[in-house]
Amino acid sequence: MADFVPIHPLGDPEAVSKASSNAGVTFDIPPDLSMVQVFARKGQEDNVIRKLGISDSPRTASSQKSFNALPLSPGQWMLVGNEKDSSKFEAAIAKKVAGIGYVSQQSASRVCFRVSGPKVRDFMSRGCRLDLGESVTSKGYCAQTPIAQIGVLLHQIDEAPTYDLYVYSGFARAFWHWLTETAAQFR
Amino acid sequence: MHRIDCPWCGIRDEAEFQYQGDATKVRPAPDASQDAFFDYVYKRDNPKGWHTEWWHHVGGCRQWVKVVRNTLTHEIHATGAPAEKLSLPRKKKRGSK
Amino acid sequence: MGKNRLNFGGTKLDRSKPVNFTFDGKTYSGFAGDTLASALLANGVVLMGRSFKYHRPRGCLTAGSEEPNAIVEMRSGPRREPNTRATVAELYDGLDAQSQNRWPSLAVDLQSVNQLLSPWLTAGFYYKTFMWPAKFWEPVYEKFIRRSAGLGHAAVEADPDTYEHAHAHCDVLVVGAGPAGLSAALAAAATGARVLIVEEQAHVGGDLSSTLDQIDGKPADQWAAEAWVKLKALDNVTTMTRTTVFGYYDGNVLAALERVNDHLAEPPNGQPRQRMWNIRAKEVALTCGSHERALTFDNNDRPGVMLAGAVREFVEGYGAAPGKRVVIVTNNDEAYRTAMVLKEAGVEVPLIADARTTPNAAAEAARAAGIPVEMGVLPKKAVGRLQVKAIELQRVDGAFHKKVECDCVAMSSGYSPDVHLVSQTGVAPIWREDILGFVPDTPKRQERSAGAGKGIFDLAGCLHDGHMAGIDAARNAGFEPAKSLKASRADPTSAVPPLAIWRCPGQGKAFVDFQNDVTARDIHLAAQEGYVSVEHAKRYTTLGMATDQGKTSNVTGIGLLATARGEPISDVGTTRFRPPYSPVAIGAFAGHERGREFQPVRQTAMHSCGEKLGAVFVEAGLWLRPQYYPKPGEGVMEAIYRESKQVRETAGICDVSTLGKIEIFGPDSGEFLNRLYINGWKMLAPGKARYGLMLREDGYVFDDGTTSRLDDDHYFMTTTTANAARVLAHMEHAAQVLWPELDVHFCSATEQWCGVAVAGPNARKVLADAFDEALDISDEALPFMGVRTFSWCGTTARIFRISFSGELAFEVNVPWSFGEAMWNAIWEAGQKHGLIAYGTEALSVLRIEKGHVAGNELDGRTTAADMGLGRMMSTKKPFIGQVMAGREGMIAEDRATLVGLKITESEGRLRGGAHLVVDKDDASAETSLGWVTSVCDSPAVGCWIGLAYLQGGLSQHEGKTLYAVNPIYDEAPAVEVCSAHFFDPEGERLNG
Ligand SMILES: [Zn+2]
Repeated sequence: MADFVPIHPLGDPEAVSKASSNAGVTFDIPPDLSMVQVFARKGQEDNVIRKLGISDSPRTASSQKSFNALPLSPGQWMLVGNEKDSSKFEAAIAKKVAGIGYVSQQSASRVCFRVSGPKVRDFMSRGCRLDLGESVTSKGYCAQTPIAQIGVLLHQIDEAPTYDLYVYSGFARAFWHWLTETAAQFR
Repeated sequence: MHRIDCPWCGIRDEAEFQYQGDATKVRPAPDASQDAFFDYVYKRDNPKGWHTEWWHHVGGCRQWVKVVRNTLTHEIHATGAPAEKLSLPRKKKRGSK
Repeated sequence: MGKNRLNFGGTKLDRSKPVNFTFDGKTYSGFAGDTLASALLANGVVLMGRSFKYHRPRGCLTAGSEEPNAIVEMRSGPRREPNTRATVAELYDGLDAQSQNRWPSLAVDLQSVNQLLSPWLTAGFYYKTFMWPAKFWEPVYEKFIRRSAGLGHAAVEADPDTYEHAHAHCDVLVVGAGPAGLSAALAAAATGARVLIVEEQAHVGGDLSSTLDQIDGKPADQWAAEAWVKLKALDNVTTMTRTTVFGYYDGNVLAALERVNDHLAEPPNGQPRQRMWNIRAKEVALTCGSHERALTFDNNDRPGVMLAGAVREFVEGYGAAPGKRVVIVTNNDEAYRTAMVLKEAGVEVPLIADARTTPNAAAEAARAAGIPVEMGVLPKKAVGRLQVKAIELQRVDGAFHKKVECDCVAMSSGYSPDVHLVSQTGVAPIWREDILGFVPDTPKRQERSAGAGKGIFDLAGCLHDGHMAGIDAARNAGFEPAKSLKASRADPTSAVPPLAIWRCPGQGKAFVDFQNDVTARDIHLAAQEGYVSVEHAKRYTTLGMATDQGKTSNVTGIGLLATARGEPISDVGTTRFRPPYSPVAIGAFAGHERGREFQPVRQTAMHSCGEKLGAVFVEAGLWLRPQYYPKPGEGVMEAIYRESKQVRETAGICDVSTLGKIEIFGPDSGEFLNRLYINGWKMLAPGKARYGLMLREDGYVFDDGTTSRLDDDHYFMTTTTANAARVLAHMEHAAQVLWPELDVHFCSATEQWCGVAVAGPNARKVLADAFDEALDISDEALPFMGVRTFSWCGTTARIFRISFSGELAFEVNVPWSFGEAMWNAIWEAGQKHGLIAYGTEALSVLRIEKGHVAGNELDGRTTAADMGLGRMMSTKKPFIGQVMAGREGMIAEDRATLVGLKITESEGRLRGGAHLVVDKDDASAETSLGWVTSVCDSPAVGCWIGLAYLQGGLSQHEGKTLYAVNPIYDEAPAVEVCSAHFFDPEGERLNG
């Protein structure tokens, strides 16, 4: 039997680089991300936080060696690892929180669009209701919010700024369409 | 547009929430009478002024948020998690939060 | 250069850039920086439109966004836009504008015969004239009103331009960049607060462009330009021009429309035409200025009669002379500034007629400059038709004074502070007799007004007041100003108060609301007829209801109403303002969300597989699902019939990825499911699946689906496609609000796992070949309602032995990114086993043949018992909806319950929505026994069949003939009532 590789979320790996050339806004889809949603059992929130070495802040991601933990809601985090093998990542995290929490495999559920460039703040204001002003958010800022009617998990990964925008896979192409249409004015 | 202070996410636009009605209603015990459930399911006051309501943050953390809101002025006095007891303001305050 | 273009003024012009444009087909030339109105005036064109009701000739009254008269149609084809104000339309090369409300031409408008009918077109004419007889409404009245009252023509093609929404946040929002606004922004910015200043016009400074005053020792317009440059350079300041704040909403959210590219023929590539801003401001400084009012005298609407401030603006700002000989009529000091500017520009001012009798410094200064001034003199009547030729003047006592030849009259009846936005916050404006204007009352939100917007009309006062407002706003937003912060300064001036004159005596038409053709007499009439409340009088006369929202007319109207009532204006009060402040295109409200982008499209992982096989897609919520896969030359019905037949003969594959999927974890998961579903879950063993039914708390059926136990404390729920989001919200309510003590956790996994159903006698063979040795799906390894996890191509897959079709069937789930690979693997393996792809229609046929309920049956009005699932309701445990499901009406004997129907006629078909009756000639709501929910042309049964809810159900009607009446199609086929389990009622085919 042939070896299958996961399909590209847009069906066209070239699309991203094409849309990013000479632009005020640039795009990337980082490959090989693994994602798991971690739940702390009732009363075990602090233990999970300690065990994973993450922060209890509701709006700031914590960076660990092998993953970033993005807070989702009380006692819930999305752990994003730079790991091609999502089963391995899931197993590693599950082992850490065994008995105090649960892990749901979510690697395929979302596509991460990485957005940056000199005009990225103006660009984000076209769809994002949140205040992403320079004096307001900084590296690590996390939020869930709809952009162009599509639910987005947003993570500011540096001070450039660069934003990682995670959307449900079924919306990946619709979101990409919005991204590129809206970015056209910043060419 | 209401701006609602989600205990988890911070202040967000009304558009991120789904209104879920009266938060003063308490579900009766499972063995309670039909009358008690009838009251819980169907009977609603329509207060002019302060009211405690559910706003479900579906566009954000997906938490049910309790909101003390003035139905007349649209002022929001307090927000909290489901378990929190929120009191109504004693007297009319000027300007929303 | 136009014949009325001055060498003087033109602060807004770039005289090095000539621009050509056409108006009513004739070509003219202007300069970059002109508005359409200023360019027309510079070319000596005064006549710009016809009025709404009487079709009277009109020129522009103002020089800004409050313009009621000079509204034109801009552009052509799909970009055609009616009701554009010529006074704000910026000139661009090739601009093409048409006048409105006229036929056949602007100078000769045959519909101006309306003027002859005018005795019948007075206040309330819509109400009086078109009341009776009612049958005349559509054929006669409506056509008449539409033809004579039409305000331009909308484009008939789709707008090719794009519009977008954008979001802004700031500590201090300053609305308006006149002297007060600039001063406020400078002060607030100096505190470090994040400031957003928004200006409606392309130029900042408000009327500083048309003043001879100085600020900080330099010309006022130079000060404004420098202030703007300074603000733009600051990191904590955002500036916007060509942007109108039109709405002030709850939560201190304001909406603004940025006309990004209205000043160009077409937006440059990639840019939107307009952008709608949602501005969330901690504090707001409203520096919106004021609007000058017209004096109400006979024929005050003749082209060439303009507001004094507008004349000044045209001369100083645009270097365009509205006339060569301008008479000024006024009740206040401000109009004298116009005289001084005209004098300076070399335009003749034969007379200033001032209604007041008190001596004032402005009059002295004018006389000193050589301009004749007469006190105690009012306008009586403008003479001329297509342009004013002279003005007749009268004494205050009404005695004729004299007639002065002129081609322009600059009039002023004082200034009304612009309280539109603050009024939207619920603040009732209060009357100030000393300035003859309404000013804002105490704020209810985080806002303050400053400058002319709150009745401070002198420049020095505006600068100071704006400064203080900026500091106050910043302080309230948490920013403290340095002590050294100082406001800009101008020389103080002292003004003599204006004199209230709401009607200059006369018998003719004296217009109050120019756009809606409301005259002083109309308001008097309304009051006489009892419409004495300001809100009633407004609606009865239509005062202030036009696109200009009565910016120049409301206060005069209220003054006249007060006079008619014999009461002070403070007792009459003002109407409330509502958004928008000025007209906003529907396209701007829609923004990006139109056409294909109205809502985002959700696609499954196997979307392209469906496309390759020629699927026709159907919308299911936001999802696109393959509906059927027509072969070349095949019609819809044939394709559906073939697909559903083939599945029962060999095998079919169907994309079922859109089902809602929810992962549930925790030791209390079983208990949680017990409370959500009507049936029991605690005995379900790991590796097993079960069908579940949920009720709403009111006892009606909510949703159904299959939930599997994957591990001791790990369940996997599926919901219907339609209810996926609602079920998740329902569960969140249960877990967060009802039973927070339960140790249960869940999240959506709908797009983690994509799925296919493989059904039919050959299903096992197909999957065995597709997954090779990876999987044992023998009956022993995977019995009916069994679940297994297996490894495939380096990823985790799940297989469920469940069946919606009644055939031997499996559902296979793999991670979303492997969906296409899985489909292809199964498709290839299935070819030798007769595998076909089937869509939602065949899926529906197969489930109808089995009597399985779906969305059509779960319509929110049915109980579990109605669906024949009453016995699933556990009595051993409580669950949501249990108590209410036992109410009298919910368990009544005569409820309609689920039955099957077979057509008994060889011709014809069944249709969903048809009603079931005993006598087809006596079909009515009273005789209806039930309704048809789902129908199909069934290959397995060999005729049209359907599911229906029928009073008395199977027990009373089995074997009987009823009629399925459909009045829309005028059909009433005979049907036989039977069990809903049409096909294989014993379920033997589940084993292959
Ligand atoms: Zn939230």
